[in-house]
Amino acid sequence: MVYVYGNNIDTDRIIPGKYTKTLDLSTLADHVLEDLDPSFSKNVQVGDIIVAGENFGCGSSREQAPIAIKQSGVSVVIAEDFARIFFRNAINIGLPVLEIGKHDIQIGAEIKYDLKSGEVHDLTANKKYTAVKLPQIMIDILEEGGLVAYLKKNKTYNLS
Amino acid sequence: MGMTITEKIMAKQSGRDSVKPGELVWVDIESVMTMDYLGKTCFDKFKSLGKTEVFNKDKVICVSDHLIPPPNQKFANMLNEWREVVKENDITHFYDLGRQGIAHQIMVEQGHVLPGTVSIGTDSHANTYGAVGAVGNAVGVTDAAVAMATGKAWFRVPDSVKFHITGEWQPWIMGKDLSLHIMGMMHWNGHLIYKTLEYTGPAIASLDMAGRMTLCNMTVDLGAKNGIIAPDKTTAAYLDGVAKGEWEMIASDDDAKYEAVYEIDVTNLGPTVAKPDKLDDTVPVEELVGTKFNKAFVGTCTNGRLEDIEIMAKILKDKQVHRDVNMMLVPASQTVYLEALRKGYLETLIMAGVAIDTPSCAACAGIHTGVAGDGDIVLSAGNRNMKGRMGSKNAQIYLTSPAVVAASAVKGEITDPRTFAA
Repeated sequence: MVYVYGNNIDTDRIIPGKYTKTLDLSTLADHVLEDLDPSFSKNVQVGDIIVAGENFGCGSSREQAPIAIKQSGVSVVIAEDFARIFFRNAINIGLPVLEIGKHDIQIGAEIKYDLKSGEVHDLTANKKYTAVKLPQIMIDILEEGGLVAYLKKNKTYNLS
Repeated sequence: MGMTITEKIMAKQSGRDSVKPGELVWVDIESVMTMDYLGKTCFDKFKSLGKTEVFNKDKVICVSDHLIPPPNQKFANMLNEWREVVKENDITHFYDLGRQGIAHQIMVEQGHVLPGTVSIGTDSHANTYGAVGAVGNAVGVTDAAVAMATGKAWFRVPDSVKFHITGEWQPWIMGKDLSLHIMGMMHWNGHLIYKTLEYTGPAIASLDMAGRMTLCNMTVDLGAKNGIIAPDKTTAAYLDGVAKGEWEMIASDDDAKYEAVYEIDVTNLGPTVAKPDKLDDTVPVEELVGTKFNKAFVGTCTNGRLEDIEIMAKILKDKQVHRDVNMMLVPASQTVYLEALRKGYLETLIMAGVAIDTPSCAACAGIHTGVAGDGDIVLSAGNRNMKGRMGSKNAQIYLTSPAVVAASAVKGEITDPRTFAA
């Protein structure tokens, strides 16, 4: 299932601040997007996709925002563009994010995507988008499931 | 070709002669800040990297600000775990209840941020550090944990956008008005995402450190990576006796490249208000004069400083807060609190009917100390007004300067401080 939301979805709408003051991160997915789309957390299934407009994840620096989305089972967030802290946090915790610019993807569209090439194919509208290419290091971090897992395995990281 | 101040800092801190926008660099971090409700998770992640000691015990700064004083047992327990982990890691600088302040205020006020360096913190308003000519960046706990272990963090060198600010500041007009004006002008639509915003010009030179901190603080809310003001005489005077290390003047080259340059003259800038739910829905205060509200709040890392309290005291001297308004002040740190007490501002405010609470993030974090309930209309000098930010999603938040909040609190409706004072 592809869920489509608008511009400037802030971190308080992704996971309200009142739920983030906890050390038990497993409770986050129960409240993901609850003020924006109260049925989301009940309906979401593993492999679902969130598609959004501009500036997705603006607001707080809370890493719980991408964690809540990842824990809900969402496989990738595709947006016109992302707020920078959300983008960084998403990579660091292993939630794939693709920045594709203006689009007209509709709710329920069938979408295929490839992280490496950045290609996003809207099969329903038969339209292709190309995401801003992620540097190899970020793809490597995502493939390991996040920065901590990556560093544990590789001990250091090489930016070039 | 010349470099901007942010490019120069990124080059210096990554051991290079020069950098260009778009390059990925691994920079040395001056200070890493984390706070009460995230700190335990941060140290746990740090530990999971297999490290036993942080890169520098003097440069990992720990602050209690979101959860204090604990309003319930859950927060009390979280704070206890936090204190335990700070102790375990033998951290030198721990600003806990009693010696507390909002993290960003502490970082600048206590000299943990030095001009020409890069510091990071696990809270979005870490952009505040730009006020002293540093690159201040907000990160998540993973980045902070990695920096605690390595003393480094990776960054993409941002494109620079210049805001050249000219003209004369008029009475009752504050850094916050400029901040909200820029918010309305640029819109919250993300085209400043990943950029560095450099504030320069004669009206920045004449702006006090509190105003500079407000301006840099809200850079994150424009979507930018950081906001920065090159150090000058004001910076040097502020850091004298406070800075936790040596630093040197640093500035952009004359031939540095900017993606865009915006000119703003503050001479005609009036008090500015952001209407409920959208930070960029800003209007001159005149358009809202007469709007009723029932809660007034001054504090936060945006506007809880001595200069903010001073302007409130000037307006509220021998006046009374309207009986339909509950007004709260939460100073940004114990240092600010003490200084406001010594100067007599707090007495003036208490006489006027203002409730004052111990320094913390308070209602701005939406979890305690004056949170908003259903139907509340809040006039706040904080930094965000999205639904639910201060508690109930059925409350409305107007954002403005401490001067507008103080003048309006007396009338019980939004008031222009210029006509109020006349």
